[in-house]
Amino acid sequence: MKDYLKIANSPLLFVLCFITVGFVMIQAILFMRKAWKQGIKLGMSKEIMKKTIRSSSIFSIIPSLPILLVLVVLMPNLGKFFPWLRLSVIGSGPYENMAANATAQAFGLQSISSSGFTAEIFVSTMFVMTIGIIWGPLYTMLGSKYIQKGMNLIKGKQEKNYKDIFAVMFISLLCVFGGTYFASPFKVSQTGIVGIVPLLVVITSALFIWLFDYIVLKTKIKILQELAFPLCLIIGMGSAILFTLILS
Amino acid sequence: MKKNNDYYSSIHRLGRISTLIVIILMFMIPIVTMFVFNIKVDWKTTLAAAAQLCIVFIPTQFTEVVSFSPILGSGGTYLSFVTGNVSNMKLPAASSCHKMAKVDPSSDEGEVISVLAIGASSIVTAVILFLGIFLLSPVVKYLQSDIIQPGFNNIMPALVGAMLMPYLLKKPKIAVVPFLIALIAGIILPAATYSNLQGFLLLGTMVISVISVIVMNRERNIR
Repeated sequence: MKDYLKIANSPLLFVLCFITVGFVMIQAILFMRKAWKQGIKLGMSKEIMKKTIRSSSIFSIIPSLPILLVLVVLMPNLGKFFPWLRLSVIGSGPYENMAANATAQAFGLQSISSSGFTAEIFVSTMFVMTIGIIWGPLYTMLGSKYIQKGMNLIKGKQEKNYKDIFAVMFISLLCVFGGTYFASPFKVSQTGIVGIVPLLVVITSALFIWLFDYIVLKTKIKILQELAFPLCLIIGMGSAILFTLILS
Repeated sequence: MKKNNDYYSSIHRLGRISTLIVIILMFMIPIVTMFVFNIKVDWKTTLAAAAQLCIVFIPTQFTEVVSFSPILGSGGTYLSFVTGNVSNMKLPAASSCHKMAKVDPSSDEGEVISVLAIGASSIVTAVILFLGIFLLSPVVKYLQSDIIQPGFNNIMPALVGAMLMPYLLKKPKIAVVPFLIALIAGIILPAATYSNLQGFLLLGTMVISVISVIVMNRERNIR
């Protein structure tokens, strides 16, 4: 076993990481409590709020699974606890791996799995991964209030258009997420026909959400209303497997 | 109205204080480890590596916070940027719950739903990852199988389709401009450049699309 892993898997690191993740969980609960109380004040039904919590929890299981895979990649080199922390608090799969390897490379190693990785580099890696990702929370901490003020200003000035403005912001976000998928038919010469799989997945899950919404509208099956979105995700992922098998 | 102001000011207070505490706790981990195990850190190399990442993340995280937070709502933004996986989990969780609860995401009710959905989502991920540390080996064997890999590689397209469709059905006209911008950018830019520039593309597309909506609605009203 690499020496520094004794440190990386030490009870101290477990405690430090556990405190941080624990605090973030408390933070989530405090926010949810405030929102719950606000919901009651606004006259929202408890049922719909419970349904929200349930539906979101069920949905979140599937996208959490690929994060487990990143955990697998990081754990042999960074120990059990720090990767767990980083994937639970801030961070995202690809970032963590990249940040860790960038540190190893700065120290003249090929990657975090190189044999020259020491306790010194391990601590440096923790620092680098933290410094690199801290900006998102820092910006929210400093700026979120002002962004909300700005949105309220737009809301006041563009009262009639506000719903459309909000909708187009959301649509823009999704379109930009999907830009490379939409463009895939134009890039078949580079990617091969299998490159259009993501586009086919977009279309499949879009069709199924439409279908589910239609069924809910006609039949009022309540449970489908709650599960439509996670089901679309699973169907979309399943279709990706199928399309890849067919096209490759 | 006063009730709402109370809520928002208390959310911002909670958000700011708790985020600050999280940032401090995160730095405590390497700092305490360094002192307890008496490890000397090569600061020059460490900061050089950190600077490399900061060049990329200082601007991109700025564009992300600015473009995501109007959509995530106040409370949702604080929670999302502390727990991460915003586009592939927090945003879809909130958005699907808005639809289920039939509330307008920009309303006060939408804010409540966002916080409940994003909070629940954060807790579930942390629990799964915690269990993952101990139960990893049997689960991973299945997750790593070659056949199901394309499934995990296509989570984002599946989410984009499911989130986009309801808006396209309701408001097809306003989707034209952002769709065309994203399509053209997707065609012109190589995939790696596209993902590096995604934050700026987001902000640019939002600004142009919002202007287009205002102009479109004005013309409709004139007619």
